[in-house]
Amino acid sequence: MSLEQLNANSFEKIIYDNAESCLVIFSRKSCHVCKEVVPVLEELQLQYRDRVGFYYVDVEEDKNLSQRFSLKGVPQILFFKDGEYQAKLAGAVDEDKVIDKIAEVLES
Amino acid sequence: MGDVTYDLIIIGGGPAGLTAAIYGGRAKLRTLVINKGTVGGLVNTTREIVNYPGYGQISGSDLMKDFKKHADSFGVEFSRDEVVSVNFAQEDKIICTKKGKEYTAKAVIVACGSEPRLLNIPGEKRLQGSGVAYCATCDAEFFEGEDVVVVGSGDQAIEEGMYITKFARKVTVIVLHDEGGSRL
Repeated sequence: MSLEQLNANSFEKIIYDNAESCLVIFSRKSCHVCKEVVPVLEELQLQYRDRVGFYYVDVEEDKNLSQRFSLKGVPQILFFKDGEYQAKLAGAVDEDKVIDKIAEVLES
Repeated sequence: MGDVTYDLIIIGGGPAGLTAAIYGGRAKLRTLVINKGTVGGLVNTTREIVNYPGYGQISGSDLMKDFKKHADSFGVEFSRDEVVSVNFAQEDKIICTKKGKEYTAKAVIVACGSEPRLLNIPGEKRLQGSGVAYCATCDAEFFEGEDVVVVGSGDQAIEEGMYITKFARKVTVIVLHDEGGSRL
């Protein structure tokens, strides 16, 4: 199942208004590393259904969002809880790292 | 006996693994390629290939799609999974994966390829994604108007450096060996 893509408006609503526990991957279509990481999240999101939201932001379509978090590279996975940024993972991360980070920041 | 038995299992889905798979499939061997990430391996990172016979100009990922299509046409099977242990001690080789599968094969080809070597310098890990990058096509745009240093001396370092010049104010290449490893 593909990740739900956020734009500037839906990002505000989901992350800050709804204050959902979630992760957001910042990615771009031409990034080969992203193509490795996105499928990992697509598989993982099934395990976390109803507990943790999994979202996708395209940095070319929504440049302001990556600037807001001073991101200088993709892919990066940002973790949010209670409407606040908690942590991030950068680069070619595997399933175990994502699971550990979720446990550490979102389910703590 | 494992979950599934194959004549040939290839660990790794880069150009070497895919080429082996084409031969296996063509020889009517029941062939499986186990690959951790996207099929194609490190070649996927190359924007432009101009010296592969039969192709004038093609991107690394398109060339690898053609390799995979070729293997598919001979009935090769693929699994996106990671090999965690092998046992080659007896005639039937056993391969266990992260997803909990156990495969048996008469022959195994290990073609697991390579990954870029890190510098292991202070801050490298902490600043990944905040100034340290490993992929020009992914990240060069984030360095618009800035000074960038590329470390490395192979063709890849030179090519990625050239790509970054489209965005950065200045690109400096730090060559790791006296003569560099580049063919340029």
